[in-house]
This record gives sequence, structure tokens and C-alpha cells, in this order.
Amino acid sequence: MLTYILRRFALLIPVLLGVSIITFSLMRLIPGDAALLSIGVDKRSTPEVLAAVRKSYGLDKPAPVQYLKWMQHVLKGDLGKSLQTRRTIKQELRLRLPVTFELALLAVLIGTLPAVTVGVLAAIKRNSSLDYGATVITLLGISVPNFFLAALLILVFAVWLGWLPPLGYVQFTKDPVQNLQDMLLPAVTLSLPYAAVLMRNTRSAVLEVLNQEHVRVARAKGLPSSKVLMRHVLPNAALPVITIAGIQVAGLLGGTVIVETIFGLPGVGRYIYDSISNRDYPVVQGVTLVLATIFVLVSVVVDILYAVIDPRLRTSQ
Amino acid sequence: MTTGPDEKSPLDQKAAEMLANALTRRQIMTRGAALGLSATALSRFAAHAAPAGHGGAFTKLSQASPTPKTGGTLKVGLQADPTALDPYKQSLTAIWHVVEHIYNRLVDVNPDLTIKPQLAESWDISDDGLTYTFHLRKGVKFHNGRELVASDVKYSFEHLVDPATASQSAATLDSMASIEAPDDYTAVMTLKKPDASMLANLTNVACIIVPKEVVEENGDLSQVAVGTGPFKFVEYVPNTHIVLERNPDYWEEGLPYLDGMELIPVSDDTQRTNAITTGTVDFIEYAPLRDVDTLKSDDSLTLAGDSNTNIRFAGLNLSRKPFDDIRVRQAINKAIDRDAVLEPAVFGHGTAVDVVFPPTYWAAMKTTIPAPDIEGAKALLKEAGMEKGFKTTITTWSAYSFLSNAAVVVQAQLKQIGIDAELNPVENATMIQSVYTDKDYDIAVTGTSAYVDPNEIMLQNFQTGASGNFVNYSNPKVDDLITKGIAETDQAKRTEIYQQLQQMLLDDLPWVNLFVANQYEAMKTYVKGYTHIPTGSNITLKETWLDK
Repeated sequence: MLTYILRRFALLIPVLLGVSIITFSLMRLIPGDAALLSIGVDKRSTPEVLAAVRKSYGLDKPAPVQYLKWMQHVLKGDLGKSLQTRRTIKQELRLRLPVTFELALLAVLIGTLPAVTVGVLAAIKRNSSLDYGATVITLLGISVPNFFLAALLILVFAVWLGWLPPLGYVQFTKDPVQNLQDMLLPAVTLSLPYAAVLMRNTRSAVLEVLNQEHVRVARAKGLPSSKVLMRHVLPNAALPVITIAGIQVAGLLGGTVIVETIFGLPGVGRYIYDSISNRDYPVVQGVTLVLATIFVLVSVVVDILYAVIDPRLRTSQ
Repeated sequence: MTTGPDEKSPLDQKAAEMLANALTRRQIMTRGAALGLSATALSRFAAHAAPAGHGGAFTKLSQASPTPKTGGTLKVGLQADPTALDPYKQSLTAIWHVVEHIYNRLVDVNPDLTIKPQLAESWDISDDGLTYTFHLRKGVKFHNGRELVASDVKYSFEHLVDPATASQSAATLDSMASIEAPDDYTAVMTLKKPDASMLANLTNVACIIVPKEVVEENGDLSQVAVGTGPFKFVEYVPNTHIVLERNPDYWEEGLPYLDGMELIPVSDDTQRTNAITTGTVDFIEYAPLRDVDTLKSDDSLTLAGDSNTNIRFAGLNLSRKPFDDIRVRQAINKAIDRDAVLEPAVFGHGTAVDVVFPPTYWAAMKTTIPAPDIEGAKALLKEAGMEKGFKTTITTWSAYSFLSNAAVVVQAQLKQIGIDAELNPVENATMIQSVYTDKDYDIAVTGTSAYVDPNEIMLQNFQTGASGNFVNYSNPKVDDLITKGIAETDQAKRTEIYQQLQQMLLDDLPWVNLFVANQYEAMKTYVKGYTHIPTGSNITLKETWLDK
């Protein structure tokens, strides 16, 4: 088990190195230049001004030199400074990661229980009206774009009913009640597609197990159906569901851009999006690296969970 | 050139209806935010701004006010997060809209766009136009308690142009040769050559007066703000809010009325509307044009605003065929129906123009916008040997619907005369790179930031080789007139020069001008005393009070 875990972690190094090189190159390949952008297009300017700004951004050196310099700092744990905001990326992440984590966590909390419950029920009562109803809702959840859902939720709960604020953000540590009020609508917006995918996958996973022989045997033994479900079906169906949930959670961390922008939350998704538009190279590189690390770690944790749940995986390694 | 009436309109719901009509009569100049909306690169369009010292009509849309009450905190919905607070290090409009409450400049703009004293009580200009002597206000204190003196002016301006500062706005003081402080209350600026737009330049946000010790202690001003303005800086949480509190020692007697302000960035347009209608904030800047009619009909809200000088146009790449042929440019100009562009682009909240200035601008040439003439346009194309039309590309900003929508209309109108244009909307960085830097495009539907002094738009965009001259325009006569316009200080003569320039541009058609848009602020009716300034500035929030 330990070697399995260690091996999984060792794989992180090449993955992250690859991520850093790809991000660095992509940012340099797309047209546009941070210095040009920061000056703008129609104000009084001179070539000297452009050269001075470019130099202050460290863009006067060749790209490989820039990369090596950056890597040097990263290995020392220094992600650098944003060109635009002049704050360190660490500072920004300290503010922004908790927002995105809280958002993702709330979305998971809101989405998981209903999704799994409905998924299991839909599988047991296949082709019932409950199953069809759940299918319709799932399809909606997957296909409704989140900017539309967000607008709809804001219209109903903020503008018409006035129960929740349409936007705003207060740190949880400052005012937990206000924080949860601010976070509720964005979390619900984010949780719907998550829950929909999870529910579909739970349903099919449970269905698959239900058709297996050991379940038939258990039923034939005369076990009550609740026991069959809890002891024989759910543990076996959990594996694919955990995989999907893991991928989804990691996806939630990166997929918050639109939700964060609409609801005015200082999250990390929006930060990276703005930074790409502004060609804020150190931010895009640094934050992508951090997000990639988190993403990979989540999948490692999922892999380890597999091994915990399924002894076959442990021995076969 | 006529100037509009000097009017102060109490703008209530009923009067709001009259707004559109009234506006066209006003002289309006704006140092506006980037093309009206923008959180990122485009707002940098707006960096330069400056009112010139000439008369203009009034745009004052404040409510008739009884005795102002003091106290209370105003929540303001900003159109964009400033990202940082240092106007030397970024040229974002969003930074300007925060730090204008914290710092002062030597001079400021009246609502009628004349220059008014701020930290300089008065100034003398030498007869040769090369020496500006500013007499500073006495007893003005920085928020750290130290008195502001002339050496701070010297330091601030020298810091701005210092190559080590690497300021994007360094060229604002391009005409300055030196700045000296002979005594504590006198600052003397010497120019390299006469510049009629100098005072106007000094109203730019980059010309704020800062305390040297704060800059040196912090390295830059991105996270701190210590000025002499009506509000003190308390806190900035990125993408969340900026908190300001009243400066009790402020030098303008009795101001500000508010105890403080909370500035909240709300970059999503619909959300800015929601924020003001639900009362999450008390005031929003850049009321979304799409929602202006809804906001006007809301009894709990008041709107202030008018047209500005952010011109939107189709720039033709003169170094490319067939746009090097004047007949092709004339054909395009004839084919375009400007009124048809207004609705999809700015929901009707704008004015169609064919010259670079809106009709209400003091230097504007009066023209009647001709109706589109498809047959005439086709005839011109035929004359140019292009009777079958041609294929081309329209490049535009994908981030700004008022431009990309205008581009769609232009595309459809060009189709009528056989020009088959492919639409190429690109994101900001690509636009700046491919159109403005590499000049790799055919037609660009784009815009300028607003100008107060006509010199800015002319010098920057039409002078041969100027950094904003992305259409590759070159006309020695135009260059000559631009140079004359900078050196001339007489208002009437300047008007004449700029009208001649407009005629030449209309003859040469490097730009096919389309429209100028309006800009509005919306506030709850209990917010009193606000005056719309046609530069897009919210500086009169210091005179604003809460009637509740």
C-alpha cells in the first residue's frame, strides 16, 4: 500500500514539470504582450515608455531565460508577483483559494446527498415516474449553462423575493452568516451540473451491480432488500461514483470562473481568467501550477480511496 | 462654434425623459473610460484625459438640494476592480475612479470642462507659453499629517517621468522640460515647446501629488494611498471592495458630507443593474445602456449622464489595397447607415457622427450626416475598378458588444455594395497586437477614449507615424495643422484649425466615423448633490449626501 502511494506521488513531478512548460509556452505563443496591454492603444506614449515598462516586467530577456529564472524562484517556493496588481501571488492565493474552496465545498455538500439518493432510488425503481422525472432534471442540470442558471436564481431570490443579496462577498471569519448568504446562490449554481452528473453515474453504477449474480444470490437467500442494497449493492457501486465525484470536484475548482464573475466573488478561477486576458504571465503560470497540483493531488487521493475500498486493487499493485 | 446653454437640470423621473433631447444641445467632453465599458485592457484607453481651458456648456444633473446632511456611508457599484491603487503603474480607468477620491491634482475640471484650481490656487503662464508658475494652496495636509509643499509637486512630476518608475503614463508630461520649487508654495514648470493642452494634461490621474516618503517606504503605491483628498484610504480587498473614510482635515470647507464610502466592483452589467435596483448599493457608475430605460422608469432611482466623446469608427488600413484608393473609402462611407448602427450597438443611447467630434463639442465641424447612398457607393466602386466588390475582413473587439454589434451592422451594409467582409472578433490582447501594433488587418471597428482637448485625438491618431495612427494615415498638411493646433492658445483660432482638420479627415476618410455613446450613473433618490461630470469622473461624490 505504501509503495503504491509513494509511486503515485512520484508521478506528480513529471506531470507538474510538463504543466509548467506548457503553460509558460502557451502564454508566450498567444498574441499580445503585457507591456503593450498595460499602456493601451490611444494614449500619448513613446517607444521609450514601452521599453521601460517591458524592462520593469522582465520581458526584455529571452523566453528560455525567463523560464529558468521563474523555475528557480518556484523551487524556492516563491511564485513571484503579479505584473498588474503588484501583489505576490502567494498573497492573492491566500485571499482567493479559500473563496473557491468554500464555493466548491458548499457545492459538493449541497449536491452530493440529493444526487446519490435520487440516483440510487432511480436505479431501484427503474422506469418508474421517479426515474423519468430524475432523468429530465438531470438533463436540465447538465445542459443549462451556469450563467443562465445564475441569472435565473438572482432574478428569483434576489430581485423578486429579496431573500439573498445578488452579489457581494464577506470573509467567513468576519461574518459567517453574511458569508453563507453571499455564497448560497453561487454554490447552488455550481452544484446543479455537478449533482446531475453524479446522479446519472450513481444510477448506472447501481443498476449495473443490481444485475450481477451475487445480488441475485443474496436475494435468493431471502435477505431483506434493504440489506441487499446496503451490504451488496452500494459498496460495489461506490467505486465508479467516487471516480466521477473526484473528477467533478477537481473540475469545480477550475470551473468557477463564470460563477465568480457574476456573483462578484474574489475567487481563483476568475483571477486566472482576468490574468490571461491581461497577459499577466507570472500569475497564469503560478496559479496554473498550483491548481494543477491540487487537481493531481485530488486524483491521487481518489486512487488511494479506491485501494482502500477495493482490496483487489491493493494486491494487484 | 456655439456652446450649449449653461443649464442645471434637476433630473427627476419626468425630466429623465427630456434627457436625450437636452443632451444634444450641450457641449460635452469626456475623459471617459475606455470605450464606455471595460474592466481590462480597454479601460486603459481612457488613461489620458484632460479638460482644456476653454469655455463649454454645462452638464449639471444634480438634484435641487436643500441643506446637505452629513454622515452615512455610500455604497458605490464600480464597473471594474482597480486591481491595484498605483496610477503610475497602471493606466486603468478603474484606478482613476478610486484614487480620485484620495488624491488631489494641481488643477481639476469643472462640469463645464473649464479648468479649475485644486491644489494650485492660481497660475501664471508666460507670454511665450513656456513657463507655468503655480501658486499652491497653503495648509493642505496629507493624510499622514504632513503639509503639502511645492517640493512634493516637483517630486511627483519627476517621479512620473523617471524611466526608473517605468510609468505607462510617463508621456503625459512629454512637453515638460523641468519642474522646480523656488519656495514652499510656488512650483514652476518649464515646457520644451508651447503646449495648449498642458493644463488639460495636468488633470490626468497620473499627475496626482504624492508624498515622497510614502512612495519610498512602500516601493510603489499599489497597496497604499496617502493623498490630500476628501477621503482617506482604509482597505482594499481585491475583487471585493475598497473602503474609504472621511478626511476630517480636508481643505475644501465642509466637505465631504459622507462619513465614508464602500466601493464595490460589479463588473457584470446585469448585476450592476440588480445591485442598484435591490439596494445592495446606493450608486452605480456606467449604468448599462441596455438597462437605462428600465432604470429611468424605476421610481426609486435617479439617473445622471449624457453623451461623451468616445468616438467609435471603422478604421481603414490605408497601406492595404483596395483601401489605398480614396474612391473605395468614399464608397464605404456612403454605404454606411449610421442610425442603423445605434440601436444594436448602444440601444439607441448615442449620437451618429461623421466627423471625429460629437456635434456638441466646441471644436466640432457642423455637418449634416448624409443618408446612405447605395447607388452612389456602387458607382464609386465601379470607378475604382471594383464593380464586382471584393472580399475583406472586419477585425473588432470581442469583449465589447457595442463594437462587435456595430461591426455586424457594418458588415451587412457593406454587403449591399458587394463588399464581402468576414467578421473577425478578437480578444483585447490580440486586438492591440494585430491591429494597433502589427497593423495586420483590413477594416477595424474600434473606438478611442474620450478627449477633452482636441489636440489629443488629432496628435495621437492622425499625425504621420504617431503611436495611435494604426491606419497608416499620412498627410503633410494635416501634420502641419496639428502642430499649429498645439501651439495656438487662442480658442477661436484653435476652433478654426480643428475644423479645417476635420474637413481634411472627411475628405481623406482614414476613419469612417460611426457614433458616440452616452454614459450614465444611476443612484437611489435619497442620494443627493451628485453632479455628473462629462469626463466620466465620479469626483463629485465628495459633494454627495444621503437624505435619509
